[in-house]
Order: sequence, then C-alpha cells, then structure tokens
Amino acid sequence: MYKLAIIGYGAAGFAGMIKANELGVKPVLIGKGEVGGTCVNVGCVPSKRMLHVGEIYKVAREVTGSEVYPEFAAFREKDLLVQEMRKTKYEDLLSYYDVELIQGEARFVSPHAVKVNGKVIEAEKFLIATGSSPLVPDIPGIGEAGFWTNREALSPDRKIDSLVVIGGRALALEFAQMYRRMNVDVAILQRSSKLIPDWEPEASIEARRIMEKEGITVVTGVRVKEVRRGAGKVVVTDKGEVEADEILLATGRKPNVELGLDNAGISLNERGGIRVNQELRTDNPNVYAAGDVLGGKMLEALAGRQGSVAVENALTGSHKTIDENAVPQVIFTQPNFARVGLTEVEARAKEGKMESRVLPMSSVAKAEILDARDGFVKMVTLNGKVVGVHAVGENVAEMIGEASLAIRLGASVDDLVETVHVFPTIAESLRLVALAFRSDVSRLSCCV
Amino acid sequence: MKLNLRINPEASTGDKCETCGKPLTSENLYTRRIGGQVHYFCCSHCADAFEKNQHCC
Ligand SMILES: Cc1cc2nc3c(=O)[nH]c(=O)nc-3n(C[C@H](O)[C@H](O)[C@H](O)COP(=O)(O)OP(=O)(O)OC[C@H]3O[C@@H](n4cnc5c(N)ncnc54)[C@H](O)[C@@H]3O)c2cc1C
Ligand SMILES: [Zn+2]
Repeated sequence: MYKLAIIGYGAAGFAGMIKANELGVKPVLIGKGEVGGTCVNVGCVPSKRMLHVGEIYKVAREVTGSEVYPEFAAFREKDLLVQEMRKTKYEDLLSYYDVELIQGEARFVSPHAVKVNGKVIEAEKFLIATGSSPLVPDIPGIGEAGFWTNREALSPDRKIDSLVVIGGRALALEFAQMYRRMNVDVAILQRSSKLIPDWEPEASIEARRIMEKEGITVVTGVRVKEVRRGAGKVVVTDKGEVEADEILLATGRKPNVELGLDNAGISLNERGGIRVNQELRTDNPNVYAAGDVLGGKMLEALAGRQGSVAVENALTGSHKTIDENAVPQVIFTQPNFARVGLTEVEARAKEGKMESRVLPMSSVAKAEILDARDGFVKMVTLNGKVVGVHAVGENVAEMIGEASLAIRLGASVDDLVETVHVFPTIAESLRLVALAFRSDVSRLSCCV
Repeated sequence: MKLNLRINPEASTGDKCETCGKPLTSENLYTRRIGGQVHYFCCSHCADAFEKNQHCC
C-alpha cells in the first residue's frame, strides 16, 4: 500500500508530488496524456507565446508602416518552447524527485483504491488533480460541422482567414486577439450582454472597446441556435448569421470527474467539481482534491498552491487553507486585464464603509511614455483597507501581485501611498490610485 | 473565406447607457445594482431615471 497516490500530473499534481517529497514521502503519480497537463501543453504557455508573437508584429507594423503579420508557421515554432518547458519543468523532475510514475487512466474502485491499466493501486491518502476539459455546449449541428477548442486553436491544421469565437470571457478574448493579429477576421459571439461579465463593469466596457479597436466584431446578448455547413461554417443566432472558416468554442471548462467517484464516497459541488472543505478534503477523509477539478477559479498558480496545501494537510494532518480573496487573475491580451479581491458591488455588500477610485491609465507617466493610454486602475477599499484592485493596461499582469500582497497583509490606502514606487512604471499606478483617495491626481506633478 | 456577417448591426454596437443611449467608456461609466442586476449608465441621473421607471410600472 502506498502512502500517497496522486491522480493527474499537471500543475496541482506536480506541486503535490514535490510537497510529498519535502515531507519525506514517495508518492505514486498517475497520469494520462502529455506530462505536465494543460498549462504547458495546451494552455498558458503556448497561448502566451502566441499572444507575444502578435505583439511583436503589431510593433513591426507600426514601425515599418507595412502590413506584416505572423505566418501560421509560428504555431509550430511555439512547439519548441512547449517541448523545452515540458522537459525542464516537468519531465526532468520525474527523475530528480523520488516518485513512481504510472501512465494510464485511474478510476476509484473502493474508498482507498484505484484501478489503472487493470492493476489495483491502494493508498492511505489520495490527491485528485485531474484538471478540466473544454465544455462543449449542446448546439444543434455543432458536432457535424466540427469546431475548435483551445487545443486545435493552438495547433491549427490549416491556415484560416476567418474565425467565430463563441464565448466572451478570458479565453475568448485571448484567442480573438491572437487570431486577429494573425490577420484573421474575427467575430466574438457572447450570450450575456457584456464581455467578461463577472469583472468590474469598467473592465467589461474596456474589453469591448479594445476588441473593437483591434477590428474584432463583438456581438453580445446573442443566442446561438444552430451551426451548419455552408461555404464555410455558419453560426445561426437569434440575431442573424455569421459564416467563417472555423468556429472556436470558448464557452468554459468542465472539471474532469469521470473517475468512479461514487465508489469512493466523493460527491460533487454545484459547479460540477469535486466538493471539498476549506482544507481541500473531499467527503472521503482520506481523499483530497486540487486544481481545476474543483470547478472554481481555474488558474495555474492556484492549482499549484492547492496541490501543495492539500498534500500537506493529507500527510501531516495540518489544517492549512488558501486565502482565495488574494488570488489574482489576468487576461493576457494587450493591454492586460488584471484583478484581485472584491469588486465594488461585492465590497458594498459587506459591512463597513466601501469606497472606490478609478484612475485612467492616461494619468500614469509610464503609460504616456509607452504611448499606451488605454485602460485604468480601480481600487476598492473597506474601512480604508484595500480589498480589491482591478486594472486594464500595458503589462498590468506584472503589478497585480503587489495588489495581492496588499490585500493579503491587510494594507491600507496610506500604506500604498507611503511606499515609494519606481518612476516611471505602470506599477506606480497602484500608488497613484491610492493617492486618488486623498487628492486629485490629475493636479499633481510627476512624483508626489 | 472572409468573415460573412449577416447579423442585425444593432446587435453589434458598443456598450451604451441603458437610459439615454450615450456610448459608455470606463471614464463616464456609472453602475447601479437594480433588482439584483448591475445596470450600466453614463451618470447617476440616468440611473435614477431608470430606477424610477422600474418602480412606476
Ligand atoms: C488556453 C488556456 C490558457 C490558459 N492560460 C492560463 C494563464 O495564462 N494563467 C493561468 O493561471 N491559467 C491559465 N489557464 C488555466 C490553467 O492552465 C489551469 O488552471 C491549470 O493548468 C490546471 O492545472 P491542474 O493541475 O488542475 O489540471 P491539468 O493541468 O489539466 O492536469 C490534469 C491532469 O490529469 C490527467 N487526468 C485527468 N483524468 C485522469 C484520470 N482519470 N487518470 C489519470 N490522469 C488523469 C490529465 O491528463 C492531466 O494530465 C489556461 C487554460 C487554458 C485552456
Ligand atoms: Zn445616460
């Protein structure tokens, strides 16, 4: 019998494996598909590389005044990066750490055993870290017409000239910009009335403006009724039709929970993910779960942290939890969208005095220097303490970590004002928006 | 193929104030939660007008 079995070898599984070794335990790591899971193979890494390629060519067009766009070969070139990172960040670690690897699909056959490749594996404790898969909505004709998910969109089998993106959240925006910057005509069809509807309203508004500025068609409040083949692929909606070479489904992701959970006495939550308590323990006291399979915020760094905390709790009986309020989130379009903590509406629902300030990026010296004035930074406070930061702007992904720390440590507006920031940086916008609680920032000289 | 958009152009216009129809930006945006939903306006007066309208009928 093993001390610990980890199912899934993505971010959460690997973090759990490393934590187990730190605690002197050799786990068995069970996974299927490419080692490393979603992030390195078909998620964050390849998508961020392709967005970066688009950014370089945008600069090239501006500098040369000529219509240069990346070739589709760039999708194959990014595979080199994926292979390299998969090797150094995942595969090589399997020989560095003390771990037994089993490749195959695991299914629970009892509360303390799984079956893999016909073999039963028993363990004292389990970590389920099986991730998520694209959610394919039930649209008549979609199966026959064919469609892309993130996997195909990151390794297209052919060059396309037009793309319909169904969905209007993070992945939809990233892929829309990625393809638009490959000189592909792009339309976004979003069911709700706003893009990124669960972000601050200012961010939703900016999202639409920025997408439209790129030349992307945005249709919101639209219901997709059917998909059929025409000259290309026709998406029939309640507002008319759109026809394009390809359709990308960016309609969300569903947790991978088809692993005989009933046999282990593990139930699901209302999001269709595995139900866990604050300590990431499932209904079965010997089984923990982490990452996308929980059906909550689906983020690489959060999955890793959860994997680590879950294994520590499982192996030592500790009661660690994760402060979800300080978990930052980013959409890596240009400009970036970044957020952490409460929205204004959420903060208003809490007890205490809620205040908020919005500072346009155009008031930030570095944004002027970079000629990147799009966006804003918004700070939400409760009784003077920072509880939320929401930003749209060039490279704001790089500063949201500071905002997370501020929230985690219970920093006040004054703490940020009194912290000298580097001039000129976009990160300075955090101090400036804090200053906006005290004075009119548009009337201040550069460094006050 | 080029994108072939056979969609009501009304459907693809930008975000607008829900009362007066003025185009919204992150700078003129004013939101208010009315009837459990966040509504988008250009100013507090437009939000008041929207709220009043909701109540009277
Ligand atoms: C296109 C895209 C872009 C993204 N960009 C970002 C980003 O920029 N930043 C960010 O923070 N997040 C991003 N994400 C999200 C991020 O990739 C995920 O949150 C993260 O990878 C989840 O890690 P995980 O360990 O939970 O799951 P995964 O990495 O998916 O790993 C799950 C593993 O479990 C295996 N498995 C599943 N079922 C079984 C079974 N029954 N038996 C054995 N093995 C099994 C799978 O094969 C896989 O290897 C992106 C996601 C996508 C799709
Ligand atoms: Zn108005």
